[in-house]
Amino acid sequence: MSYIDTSVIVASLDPEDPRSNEAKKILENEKNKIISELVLIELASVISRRKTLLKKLSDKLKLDERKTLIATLLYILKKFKLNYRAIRDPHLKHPLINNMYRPVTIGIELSHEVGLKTLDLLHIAYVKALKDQGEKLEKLITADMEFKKAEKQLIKIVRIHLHTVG
Amino acid sequence: MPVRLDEKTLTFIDTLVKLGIYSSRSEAVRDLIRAGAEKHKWALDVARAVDELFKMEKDLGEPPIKLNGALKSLLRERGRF
Repeated sequence: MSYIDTSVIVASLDPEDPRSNEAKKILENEKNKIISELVLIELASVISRRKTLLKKLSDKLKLDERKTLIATLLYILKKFKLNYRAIRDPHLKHPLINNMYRPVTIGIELSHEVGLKTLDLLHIAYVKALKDQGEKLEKLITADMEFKKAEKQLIKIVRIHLHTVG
Repeated sequence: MPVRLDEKTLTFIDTLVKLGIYSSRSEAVRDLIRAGAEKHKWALDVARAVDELFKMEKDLGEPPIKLNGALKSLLRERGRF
């Protein structure tokens, strides 16, 4: 079972990127692909800022842009058979701070060891949170080479292997 | 189609029947489901649009969504924080 980072999905839909075909093949061939809400929001952000694309799709679909965005996200999920998993128990008390959203607490706890920037760190925190709730995630597939910097820690602490595209 | 309802919803429905708004539980449930479905009608439009996107993909021979240059931007944005 694999956690799919947003970068792989975006790469597969970005014909200008040299990693596009490889990303597409991975998404088509990989079985049991999991995504988090962080992937959804990153995708929504990327697509919603493509004003021309959204307007064109909205005209063709005869739907307002807000609903077109939702339809586009659902199309991508269905096309690549991406399974969204929610964080079931959303709050986790940090020993020194207070109740926080679970992936944020985990991210804060992991930050020192993995040393990644915020969004990459959050993806790792989601992987850990999903694993903690029983998802059998073995691989993190990404086109973001920044994760490489933390590869050893990811195996050691989160028990997840890294598969980079490109 | 048997439907299991929680205690709170059932009490609410019984109150509506007692107030005479509906003559029976089934009438109340039927009407409330209809109202709920009307509220979420937009979901049907979105479902139809998803099907349409697959049709467009079939006609074009490729996904109708092209995000030219988006990966570079995404990775650049991630690098900022």
